[in-house]
Amino acid sequence: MSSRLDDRIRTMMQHVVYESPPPPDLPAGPPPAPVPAWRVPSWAVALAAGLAVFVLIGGFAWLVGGTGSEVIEEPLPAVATSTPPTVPDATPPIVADATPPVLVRLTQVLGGSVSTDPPPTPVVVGDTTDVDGSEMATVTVGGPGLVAGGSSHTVEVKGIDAAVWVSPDGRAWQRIDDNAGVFGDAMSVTGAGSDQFINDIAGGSLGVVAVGADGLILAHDAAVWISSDGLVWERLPHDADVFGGEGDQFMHSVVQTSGSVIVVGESGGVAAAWVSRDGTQWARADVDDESIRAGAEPSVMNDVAVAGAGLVAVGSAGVDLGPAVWLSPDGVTWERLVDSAAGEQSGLSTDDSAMSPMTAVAAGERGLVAIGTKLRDASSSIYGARWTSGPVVWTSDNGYEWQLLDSSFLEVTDQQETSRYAYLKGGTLVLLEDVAWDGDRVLAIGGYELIPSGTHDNPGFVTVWASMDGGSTWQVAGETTLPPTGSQSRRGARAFTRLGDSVVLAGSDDIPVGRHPEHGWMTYGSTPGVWIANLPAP
Amino acid sequence: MGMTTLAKGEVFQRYGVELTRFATSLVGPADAQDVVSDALVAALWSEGWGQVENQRAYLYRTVVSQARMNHRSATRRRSRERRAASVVTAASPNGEVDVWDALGRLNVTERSVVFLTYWEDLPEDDAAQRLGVSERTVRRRLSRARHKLGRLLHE
Repeated sequence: MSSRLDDRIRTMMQHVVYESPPPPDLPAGPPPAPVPAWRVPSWAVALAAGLAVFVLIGGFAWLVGGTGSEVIEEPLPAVATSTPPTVPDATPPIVADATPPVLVRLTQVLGGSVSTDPPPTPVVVGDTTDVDGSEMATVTVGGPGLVAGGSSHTVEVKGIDAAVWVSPDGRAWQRIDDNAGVFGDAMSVTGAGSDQFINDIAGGSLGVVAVGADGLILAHDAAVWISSDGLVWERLPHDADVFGGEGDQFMHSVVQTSGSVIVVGESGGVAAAWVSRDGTQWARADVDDESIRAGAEPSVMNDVAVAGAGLVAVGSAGVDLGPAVWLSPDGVTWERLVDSAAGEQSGLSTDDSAMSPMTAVAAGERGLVAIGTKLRDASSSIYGARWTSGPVVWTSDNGYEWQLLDSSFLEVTDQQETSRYAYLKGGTLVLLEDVAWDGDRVLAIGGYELIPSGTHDNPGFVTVWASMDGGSTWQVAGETTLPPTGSQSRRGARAFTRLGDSVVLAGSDDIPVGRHPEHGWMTYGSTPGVWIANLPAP
Repeated sequence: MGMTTLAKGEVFQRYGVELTRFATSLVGPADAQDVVSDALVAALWSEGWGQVENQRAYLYRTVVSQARMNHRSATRRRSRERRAASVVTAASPNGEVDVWDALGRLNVTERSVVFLTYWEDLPEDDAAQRLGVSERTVRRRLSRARHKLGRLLHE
């Protein structure tokens, strides 16, 4: 018997179908599938590496033209062909006479200045086979200098593989060759075609630990990779009792304390945590949560930080994606912070805080700072923006009482403000992705994106914000220039870390990589994106 | 029970429209064509396509997989959040609830079950076969989706 709810859902689905666009044109098929580097002869790898360097040099040139930012004109070093991989030198060789059109740039230095020059025109080449869909999700100090983790996939239907890159200085990067197959399907319990990806990496006394997931659609299991030096990696054997379970298990964030590794994430749609004393033997932590026990409310832990003698994790809970905080003395037991019946208020939630998941948290001597993005904000602007999704910041002195700040605390630069005119009746979307204490100040990174009306294009700026008052007010400390209109170049930094006088941001770029040889449509791919902000420590 | 292997063009002609509708319920109208296009490329040109027994179910699962990649990747994530910020024009026919807002409260797997149940009118066992999951999983996801939508619709 159909209930009124069923009837209403059915009506909703009719509306969805009514909104459905016509089917796309029949694709002509993918270009020749790229062969993973570890399966090709060394001479072919060397040739490909040479071409990559050739291409990268031109990419820098493309980006340098017309921008006010200082760009590091250093090519990507050659890909290693054996295990252990060769660590790139701090000063990679310069390849002369790099003249062909190039598309990929790997490193750009952020400056505080704003360019008024016209943006460069993207150059298009016909062959897309050397570009895959690589993304950096995290970067940390460790191994030979910096270690970044993420994923890589190609158009061939063989799933996503985890990926690790290393750099001695943040400028020259090299992807670790997966000769042993630890990042791909070889170690997967679900076999060929499954996905592996790294969400976070932490270095410490127990070496370098990377966490993520492995599996097939609807059935991912948690996955852990470990390394003593960031160069040679091994995948921990799958333990179904610890890493498996009903639905998806995703490890989202990892930290090392003195003698422990703590991971937070989700399992079967609710918050979950894992703990290890040596990096190799793992156990599920006890996450105490009324909503989890009731089995009705989804929840997720997105980030974890060491706070004094304990730990704090942030994420979201409930169908409204409300902000949520969990506290733990040791990583073994976790308790969610909720408003007590006695009237004690956490300050996390307000009437206006729905759809505001907490993305990241940083702990320092001056307190805690957490960031997130309010996904629905009905405010409009004098420029005609329909919707603006704004950043959200929470601060806390003790982890139990939080203050919620709205998006008005962020400085808007002239470039950002001026650019909004070009996208009249669009909107803006400011996304904060990562936050960390940097001495007495707090740094946060993310993107200030423009949402043109009626197109899929949402170019934006990778931005670094700094706060000198513990998170209450923020100023732009560095930003990229606006990509060419219509280029659909999407720049996304996901994480950052300090290295010397620089702050290194890691993420990905969506860039045009070529036109289909028969149909002529533009093909886009994502490449690892690294930005460097010259911000000496305060 | 095996199915007749269709040529790529025939597959597209037969399933293109319904796959696009399905993708729309998962990722919205803005990205549906991209998801279907990627799914078709991934499926039709895969080495094992000729051995696929139930091509329709395989294509549905591939669309779900592409929608999940759309959901997960960093750039797609921003696109998703952008959609969440710009759904003001997607009002429901009766104006009571924003359809895309409601669907946005569900994850991809829940949306796929809701579509197959309420649009395709598939029973649980058929929906389970189409998605390659157990009937219990379909029931659980449908229950969770109904719970979420019920709260939103105040039913």
